[in-house]
Amino acid sequence: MSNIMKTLMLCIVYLILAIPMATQHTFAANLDNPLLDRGEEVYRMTCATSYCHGVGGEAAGAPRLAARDFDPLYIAEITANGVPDTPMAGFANALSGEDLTAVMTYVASLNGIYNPEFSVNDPLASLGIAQVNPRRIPLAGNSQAGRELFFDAYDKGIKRCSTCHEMEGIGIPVAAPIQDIPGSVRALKNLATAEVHTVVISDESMPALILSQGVAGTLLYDLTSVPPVLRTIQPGIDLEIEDMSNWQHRDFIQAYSDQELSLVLDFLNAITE
Amino acid sequence: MMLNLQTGFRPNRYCLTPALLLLLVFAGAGTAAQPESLQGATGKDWPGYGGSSAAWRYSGLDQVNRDNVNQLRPAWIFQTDDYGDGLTSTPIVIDGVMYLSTPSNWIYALDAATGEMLWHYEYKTRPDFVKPGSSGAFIQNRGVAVHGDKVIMGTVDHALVAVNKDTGLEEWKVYVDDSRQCGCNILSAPLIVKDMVIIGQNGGDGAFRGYLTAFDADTGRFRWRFYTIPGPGEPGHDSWKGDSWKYGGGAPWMTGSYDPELDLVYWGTGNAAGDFYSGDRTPEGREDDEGINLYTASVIALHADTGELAWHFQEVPRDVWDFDSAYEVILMDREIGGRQRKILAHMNKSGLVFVLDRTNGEYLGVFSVPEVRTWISGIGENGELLGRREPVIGESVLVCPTAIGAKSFNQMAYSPRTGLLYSPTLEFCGDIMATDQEAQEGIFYSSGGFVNQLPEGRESYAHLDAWDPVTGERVWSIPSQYALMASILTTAGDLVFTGDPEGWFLAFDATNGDLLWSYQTGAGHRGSAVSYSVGSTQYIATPVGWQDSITGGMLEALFAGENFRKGSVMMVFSLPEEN
Repeated sequence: MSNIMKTLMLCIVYLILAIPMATQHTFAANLDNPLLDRGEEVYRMTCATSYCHGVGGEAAGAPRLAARDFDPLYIAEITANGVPDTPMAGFANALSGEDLTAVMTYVASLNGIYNPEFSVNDPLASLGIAQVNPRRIPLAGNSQAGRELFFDAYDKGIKRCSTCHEMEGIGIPVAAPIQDIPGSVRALKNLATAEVHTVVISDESMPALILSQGVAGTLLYDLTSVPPVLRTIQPGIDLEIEDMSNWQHRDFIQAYSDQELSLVLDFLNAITE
Repeated sequence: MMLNLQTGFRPNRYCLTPALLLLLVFAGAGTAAQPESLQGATGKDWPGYGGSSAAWRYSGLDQVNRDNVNQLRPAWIFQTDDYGDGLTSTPIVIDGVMYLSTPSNWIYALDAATGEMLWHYEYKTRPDFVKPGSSGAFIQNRGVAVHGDKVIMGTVDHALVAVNKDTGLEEWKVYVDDSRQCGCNILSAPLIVKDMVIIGQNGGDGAFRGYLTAFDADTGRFRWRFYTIPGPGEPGHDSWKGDSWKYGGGAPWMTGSYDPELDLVYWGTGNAAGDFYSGDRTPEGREDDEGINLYTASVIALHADTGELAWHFQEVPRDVWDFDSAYEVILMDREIGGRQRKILAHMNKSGLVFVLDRTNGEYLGVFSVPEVRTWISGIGENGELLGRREPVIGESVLVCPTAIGAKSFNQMAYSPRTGLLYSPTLEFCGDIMATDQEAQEGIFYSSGGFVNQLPEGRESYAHLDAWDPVTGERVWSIPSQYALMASILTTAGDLVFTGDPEGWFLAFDATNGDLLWSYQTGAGHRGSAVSYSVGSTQYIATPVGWQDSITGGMLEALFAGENFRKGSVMMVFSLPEEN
């Protein structure tokens, strides 16, 4: 076969292959909406992984999204908050406001809506939907380093601050929300925690944070080890509660150097302001 | 009868692959099963996820056998009222009580002879719980573990919770991690080892560093944690480029095994992340090395009391196909080369079944179960992958098997009577396209996507196989039309049980694959059948209910128009009383 013939045949093959693709993506290609490109990218990486939705809104491990007659409000609600009792997660916490808006805009385009009114800066508030996680917005200087230490799953692992404290919507709220921030690293280490008692359950003694006592029993956190264990002590089981405890905050923050604790304090001060 | 399974074995007519890899180094291997020192069989109880801690899924009961299995009829049926995403659970049975978890983290205690409900527990997630926007978004639970007076379950918000075995009242709960940060959660059943409960997690298709954690089973207190990716300063850390170890996956998302004599815990680990592109995680110039991205896609053996690594064997170095190796690790003692050896058999998602010496991880052999195979061209003398067909950024590359796997997370079974492993094998391919994606903690990190394809020239896309793990020989194989997504149960009655997406619950002759009995249960099968006895009666119990998200959803997309029915039912069978 001559080169010309080969080229001609290749062109025909490409043309045949290109027809369905072109049909499928016409609406997107003709649009002058800068959010769409980013939206398609976010969609491809976050939604169209094939475990869940498919490329171009096709069905894969999760249902088809293209040509479903979805309206913008529905798209925004589901993208942000997910669908209860299904694997569809909410992405308000996972994506930046801009990416959330972009991906909602892209899904809207798959349903024939090319210019939905999602605001880039405030994509959800106008719809009355949960706000984007503030943790996605970087803090200045030392405060950001302190934030990373507070939530550090890698070097600190299970001994990180957020194993017992919830901040910015992340962490296990074993302790009550942090209100009075210690003025120094020393004060942080020496933190008096009057809520911690020594509890004796069937002759076993442990430091514990008591959450409630009632007819259904006593609910407490056993602070013997990290992570703390939430225990329900049924009525009728021997339980003694002593006022004092040998428990100390300093024992639980040993994974951090003084310098790192100082950065953590910078973070706490920055987000409380 | 519309069972495709009755059509018998279809020879391989797909042109792309050799049928098997037979690269075993066993000399003079015998096919007959040898007496076992392991306690691999279950008796009146079904005490753990894999039956015994050797993960055989084999019941030593033989009241139901090849001669009378066709008389099985329903003994009782229990509707769970929880339709989250099918019923993927393995029930635990102890002293005549069945403990069954359901997709939304409920637990039922049922009278195992009558189905009468004894108590019901509904786990409450944190009020502010948000499903992780990562691979951990399934609504499933695969089973509980029972230790002493505690029934222990992993939860969708990444806690481990223990309730009282007699009352169903909560006793302790510990958050293993925050699912909102890690993008991970727990679907798998815990493993009881001595006085500890050990649990892994899902989430390794996100930017996440996998780990196993052991807790005191009585108190919930932390014992140890083993990260499946070594940290700075640890051996194997240099198999990762830069900071990629923080996000490299390796989630051990199924349940492991335990050998009490060696005091070793065995676990399979998940794929490396990002799934389909390794450029961000491979040290410069080491693309072709063995032992890259440790210990992802590996079998690991840990000392039970400390969680320290005893040995590892990486099956898919620098994985780029999402070929998790997180599946069951089956322990057995077999004669090889004239001497009795302590071995394990372990299949990963690619369908390679590695046979290792479980005392030290020594490679003994491997065989490949799918008939359609293009991802590699062969295997070297020591189990190394040859002729890797890898995804390319921006291009579509057809690879078989696809990320659905040559087997899904449903489990194989092993019978010491036949010496055979029973595998629910799948035949699906996929067009993979890789992307270079930035890792973001807890967020999906697949670095690409894929479109599943049915291999050409086939009329069926799954087969139930019997394999001799010592010789690597496929002894029999029975085709199934769509997919086999339920676990296998085998028994001393020389029976093999499983279910299919169309709702048939099936019993085969363990020696030759003859279909002996079937029962239409009304919905697809995605869980794991078990056997137990109460009084003088043997029961065969199977969860019924199709999972229609993720893998199940992919199959529904491949077989458009088929209706694999959801449901959430425990169906239990026994022989008529005159038996």
